[in-house]
Amino acid sequence: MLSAAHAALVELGMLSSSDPLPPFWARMSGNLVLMTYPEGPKFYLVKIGIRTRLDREYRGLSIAHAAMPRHVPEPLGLATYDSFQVLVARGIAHRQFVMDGETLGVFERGMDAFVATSLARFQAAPADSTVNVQDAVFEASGIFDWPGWRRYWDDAQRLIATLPRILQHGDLAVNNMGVADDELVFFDWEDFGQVDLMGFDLAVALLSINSFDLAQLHARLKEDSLEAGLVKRCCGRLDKSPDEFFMLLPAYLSLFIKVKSAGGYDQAVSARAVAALREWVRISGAG
Amino acid sequence: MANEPHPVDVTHDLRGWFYRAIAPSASCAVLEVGDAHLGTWFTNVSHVDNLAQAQPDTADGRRFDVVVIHQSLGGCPSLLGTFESASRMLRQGGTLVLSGANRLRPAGSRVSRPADIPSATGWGYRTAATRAGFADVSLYVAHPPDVAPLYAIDSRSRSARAFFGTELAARKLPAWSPRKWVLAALIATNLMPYLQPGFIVVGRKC
Repeated sequence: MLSAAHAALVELGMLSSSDPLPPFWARMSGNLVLMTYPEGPKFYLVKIGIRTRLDREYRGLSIAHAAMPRHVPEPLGLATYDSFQVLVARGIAHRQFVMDGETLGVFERGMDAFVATSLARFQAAPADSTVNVQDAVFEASGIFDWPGWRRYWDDAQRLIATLPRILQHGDLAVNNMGVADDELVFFDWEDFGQVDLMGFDLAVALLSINSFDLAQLHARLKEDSLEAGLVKRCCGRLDKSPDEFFMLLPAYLSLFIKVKSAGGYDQAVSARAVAALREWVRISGAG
Repeated sequence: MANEPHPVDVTHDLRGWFYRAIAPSASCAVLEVGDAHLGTWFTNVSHVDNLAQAQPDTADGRRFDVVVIHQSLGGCPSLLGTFESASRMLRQGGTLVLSGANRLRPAGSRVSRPADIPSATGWGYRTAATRAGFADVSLYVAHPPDVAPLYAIDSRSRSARAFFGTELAARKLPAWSPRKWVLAALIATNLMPYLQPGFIVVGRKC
């Protein structure tokens, strides 16, 4: 795998073929990520596809970097070496995003910008194949016995039909965000474009900062909070109401469960979404 | 998914991933000493417990592409002996990977470390590997230091400073925290990797 990373860096002109692989640290989470540090200020992310193909991520990075160059790593190449897909992107110096009093404003500005940019620049093409929302809701209903799902879907699909198809990041949890120069940076675009239901990314981000505690998020949406403000402004752009966003949460959660299950992620990730979905049914009385 | 054989689902069992990352291919000839969970990643694995008594298959001159020694001295009396025994089993240009404990971080009093686990300082591992004839010796630390680490960090300063610096920033310690100052100094001087609980040593037989 390291030889594949070396070959990619050589082909892209970051190294000469006689140079060894620069110092790196590696992270394994199904795919192998190397952060490599050649001499000088620049550094590079080299991702090696083991669990998944990396075409989605390369496309996501390409589209998103073009739209938000300071907020998304620049993709430099995608090729196959030693039977592995290897993606190289320019690193962005950042610190891990941690939600606290200091970063509240950073998160709010960053998410507002992300939502506005995605609406303007991430429109799905007719040929884009995305996860079917009805299938996802149906499958989720079977996980915890939700007899009222059909009634829910009848209402939800009318609302969904009025929304633009916008390709979503797919995993916009806070652990995939960093902070650079007091701005949010968005990483890990592996799931880009699997979902085209507008609001999905915002829902995942808000659930993530509330530890997927649906009752807590519900309470925050009812008061004058960061979450309520973000939802209100997002809905304003779509000519929808915050109540409609809340109404779509089961659809968002069902898509999240389906994407995570299909992607082979740890079951604990999906389990948190299932618990949130169950809580939504309880709160809304839509059982 | 890459087009190489994975006998079991690597999505759910990531143990041993760094050994595969270092190795040239999934089908190379690997000798495993200790329980490195290599079956997840390789298709051609031989296993011995006693490296000291192992002999290369001289009938066909077969030696291994990679020798992985996981938390074991392989029955050898010393770390140098383990490296020398591994060298005997490797082909020219083959790769040695050994993981062991950091002598500067003794196991807690309630946890007894088995006698067969290698224990040395980072510098000690490097010296022993070099004395046994290995070249391009590099040192990595696993984080967290358990059976399925998420990260492996090259101990060279650019990568180690970047990793531990980011980790320190994420801790959100108060600016006046003495702990923060000490950690920042250890990172700046690149001592941080040498104080981690364990090491992975990689070398090339030359």
